[in-house]
Formats: sequence, structure tokens, C-alpha cells
Amino acid sequence: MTLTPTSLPATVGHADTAAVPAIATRELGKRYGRSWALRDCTLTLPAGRVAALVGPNGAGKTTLLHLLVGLLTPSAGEALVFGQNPATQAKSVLPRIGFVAQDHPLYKGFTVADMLMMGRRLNPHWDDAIASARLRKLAIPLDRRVGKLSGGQQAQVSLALALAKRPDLLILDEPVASLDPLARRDFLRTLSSAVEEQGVTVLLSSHIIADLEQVCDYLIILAESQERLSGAIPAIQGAHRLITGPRGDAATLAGIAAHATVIEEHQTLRQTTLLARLHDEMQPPNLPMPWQITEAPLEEIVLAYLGQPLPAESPSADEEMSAPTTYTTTTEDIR
Amino acid sequence: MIWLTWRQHRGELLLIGGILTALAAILIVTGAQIATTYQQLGVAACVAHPAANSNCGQIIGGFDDQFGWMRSAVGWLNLLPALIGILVGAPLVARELEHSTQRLVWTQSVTRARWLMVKLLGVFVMCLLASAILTALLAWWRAPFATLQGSFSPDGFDLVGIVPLAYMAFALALGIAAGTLLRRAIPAMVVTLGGFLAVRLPILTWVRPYYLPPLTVNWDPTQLRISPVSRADWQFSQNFVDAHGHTLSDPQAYSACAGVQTKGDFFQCLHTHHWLIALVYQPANRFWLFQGIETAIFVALTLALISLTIWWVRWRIS
Repeated sequence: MTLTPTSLPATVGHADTAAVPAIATRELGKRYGRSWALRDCTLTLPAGRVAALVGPNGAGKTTLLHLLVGLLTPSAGEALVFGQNPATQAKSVLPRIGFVAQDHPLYKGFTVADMLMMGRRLNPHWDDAIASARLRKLAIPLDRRVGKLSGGQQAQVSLALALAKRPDLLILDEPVASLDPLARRDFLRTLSSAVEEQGVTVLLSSHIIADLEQVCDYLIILAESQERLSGAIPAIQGAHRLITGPRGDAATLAGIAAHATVIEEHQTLRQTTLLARLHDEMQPPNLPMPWQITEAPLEEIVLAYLGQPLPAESPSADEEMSAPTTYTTTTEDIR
Repeated sequence: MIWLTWRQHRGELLLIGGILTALAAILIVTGAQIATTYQQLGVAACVAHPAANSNCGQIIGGFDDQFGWMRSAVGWLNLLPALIGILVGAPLVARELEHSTQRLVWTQSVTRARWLMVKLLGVFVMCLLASAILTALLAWWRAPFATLQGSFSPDGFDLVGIVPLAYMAFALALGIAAGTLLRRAIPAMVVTLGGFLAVRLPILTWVRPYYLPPLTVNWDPTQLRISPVSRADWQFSQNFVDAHGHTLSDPQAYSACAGVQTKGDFFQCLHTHHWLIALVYQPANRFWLFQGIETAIFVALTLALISLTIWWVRWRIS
């Protein structure tokens, strides 16, 4: 398999480097023994976005991120970062990526200053001013041992290290999962302001959706290794509606189906609630009273896609691995 | 990268420095004492001209009574490589994996291959340097004993020449490989100690004596007063043989010569039966060849373990 940028999908081909996506994966897979941690994952993240990678635990988020930073080598397919393969071209890819691993590992016996020294020694584009200004602003003392800092402060040191590398792409694996709400808010604020200042592309994974809206402008939903939905958040929100009406109104439902794709249908004894994707934002379905159509909260959209069954899959060699779990979208539960 | 290696391992390196300094102090003090006594008792003169003084046996015996225990005690230094393998080798990669910090350091701008290279070079150079200094010091310390016992038998061979460096390299590589594969420092330390002994002892006991076929000499003590196998040779067995070279069991020889009073009479008795003493040994002039073979074995094991570590770090860890 050739790993030259020309094997990329249509976007590349120009001398215009802005057209090279920050991340492009094609049928990417990672197998451990007989089980696939990630399989057949094809997705693209354009440069300049701040993207949230959302999915349930075990969806392969960490595996995907590790493949992107070269910590793992793919068992199938390929991953490209700015058109380069992180597994085979680590030397040129690594300086362009800032990575904060899950639980933000640091050398606990080092002082904060030692950690910065490590960054300076190990990175060609290192900018000390970025790191020290950020840490000063957060009142994190440089002579303190990392192990004595709070979890939130350690996360901030990790972020400062990644940013001072002056990366083009910042990848964060569950950066706020282990933080308390206050530290979580502070971390995301720091991240937002840094992104504005440095204009870096960001991919951050999380299973906490509510926090992401204030930081991210792009969303990638990953479930069972598959990209379910990706796109700019305003566009996603613009295309989705929450529709409620009385149960059993078959005529209206048929009318809705003509204008929108129902992603999730939820029924209680009297009511039907739909999350639907409009075929055309300008042409929402006409609904009789008492039907209501409202904007869908992002969290609802994400949850709807996570609960959606996989699209009918092309049969593959080892069926037992790929067989999708069967979901029933119509739940008759009584709440 | 060099700075990081130093910053991460300065504790261990200071520890090695401390151990080395303490050992050097002990060796210098006791070594000076041994060298002085060696001259004063007249052991040196006896070694130079064994026939000059009829008391030489007694003099050498006295010297050995006084310092023999030190010679044995120094044998414990054979465990030093294992100690270094445990303290420096086993945690080298394992501690990173235990704290997931490999995900931090491998995603800086330095590839993991280079990261590992610098680390390996750093610890190998430091530990081999320490080992070389200690070996040189020990050679000086042992010199008086070497004139008496030679250096070919294991209590000398293992501590002098170039093999101590090979043992050190092997123990380090074993510790590093165990830590990399097991991903935990403590189990890796146990494996390092066990593995080191499991390789060193069988080679010492069953392999080294046969690097070249041992020589056998049949000795008639009534004809030649002094054994043809010198103290510098490495003798590993003696048994009685008849005139046709067939081996006799010890009880057979002793019962045939029962009732003799002195060693001389016993030898005379053997002589009348046309029996000889067969001595099996490796001659002293093979010392450096054997050092070379043993070093080659341990260097080969070291290289295999390092290759395994590099491969494992590159492909099996994320």
C-alpha cells in the first residue's frame, strides 16, 4: 500500500496545503488477537476545527487517538495526519502533534520546571514563553513537584506542555474525565483561549457531551468503531429537529418521512417523540396541531445517533466479529 | 534526551556511585594490608624461589589462614551485576509503563527508537564504566592470591579479565528486557535475579569446563615430586588409573593400600601396583581464550535481549 498523500481522498491534489485535512483515516483498524478494538474506521477532520470525538466507552476512541499519534500501528487501513503516516513517518509527524494522554501522565518526581525542561530538550519548535505564561496565569509554581499538584493542576501542566510544542494538531484523550466540575471548567476555558491564540486544530475525545459545546465547533460521533455522524456543530444542529405529537398518527408520520429521516423514535403511552434529520433545512415538514417541532439539543442528537443501529453492513469474512447488535428503536417503556 | 535520561536516572547513578565508592574504599584498605603482609611474611619470596625456604608451605598456609576468608568474601561481588540489573535495568522501561508516561515521552518530537537508544547507551556506559573500574581495582587486590592460586578457577576467573563486564551487560539487558515485557518493575526484578543465576551457574558448572576438551595427565608421584598441574592451571578432578588407563574407584585404591602410614608410603604403594593419578585440567595458557569464549556467550545473550527489547518497544507497546 502506498502511503503517499496522493492516495488520499479527493481533497488533496493541490499545492494548497490548507486543503490537506488535519486527520484522514481510511478503513483504519486495530486488532488485538482475535478482537478488533477499532475496525473499518473512515473519517476526516478538516484543518482549523476544534472537534469533539464522542462515543461510548469501548467505542475505540483511545485506540483511534493512539493510532493518530503513532503510539499504535494499524492492523488494517491507514491513518494520515496532515497527509503523513504517524506510524512510519514519526520523525516529521510528531513535532506537529501535541498529545495529552488519558489521565495526563507526567513524571511525578519531576518539578514543573523539570517537565518544561524536558519539553524544551525534546521538541524543536518549543516555546518556553507559552508554557511559563500559562502556568503563571494559573498560579502553578514551577518549583513544585508534579506529584504534589492537584489533578486539575496536573491536567493544566499537561496541556501547557502540549501547547508549548506549538503543534498544528492538538489531540486530547478524555482530558476532563477525571476532573471535578470546577477544574473541568477551568481546563476547558484554558483550552478555548489557547485555541484562539494559537489557531491549532483540536481533536478531543469525551463521553461528557455537555461540556463540549462551549469549546468545540465540530463533532465526530464514533460508535462500535464506525463514524456515525460528523460535521460542524451548527450545521448538525440546523439539520436536526425534535418533533413531538400524539401517538398513532400514521398520516403525519408519513408526511414527516417525506421531508426527514427519523433517527430515533420514542413512544410513551400517549406521545410520540422523534429525532429527525431534515432533508432540507428550508423545508421542514408541515405539521398539524398539536404536533410541535423544535430545535434539538446537541446532547439529544448525540444520544440518538449512539443508540442507532449500524447501517446494514456488507457481509464480511468473519461474521461473528462484525455482527451488529440489534437495537429496537421503538421502546415501549413506560415512564 | 540525554538530559532527560540523566534527570530520570540520577538517583540510580548516584546509588551506583555510592556502592562503587564504598567497595573501592574497602578494597583499597584491605588490599594494602594484604600486599604488605604478603611481603612481610615472605610469601613473595616463596613464590619467586619455592626451593629457597623449607618453611614455605607453612608461610603460605599462614597467609591463607589470615586472608583466605577475604578471598571468599569477595566472591559475593559476583552478585553485583544482578543487583545492578535489578536496581537499574528492571525499572528502566517498566516504571514508564507502570505510570503510562511512555505516552507522554513518546509523543514529544523524539521517536521512541531514539528514546530507547539514548537510555540504553546512557545506562550501559555508566554501569560498564563502574564495572571496569571495580574490575581493575579487584585485579590489583587479588594479585597476591593470583600468584598462589592462579586466576583460572571460578573464584578468580569470574572476577577478573573481561568477563565481569559481560556479566554486567547481560544482567542489565536482562533487567531491561524483563521490565519491558512484564510491564511491572517488581516482577521484573524477581525474574532478573532468577534469570541471572539460572544462566550464570549452569554455564559456570557444566559448560565452561568444556570450552576446549580438558587435558589429562597421568602422574606418578614417586617419579615427580610436584604435581604436573600447576597452581595456575584449572584442575577439576583427579582419580586413580591402572597401567592400561582404566579408571579405578577410590575405595579400590584405598583398600589395596590400606595400612600405610604416610603419604609417601601411599604413593609407593600405588607405584608398586603400577597405578597412576590421572589429573584432568585446563592449562593456564587457555585463560584468555576461555575469557573470550565466556564473554562472547554473554555478549551474544545481551545483544539478543536488547534486540528483543527494541522490537518489543517498537511494536508491542502503546
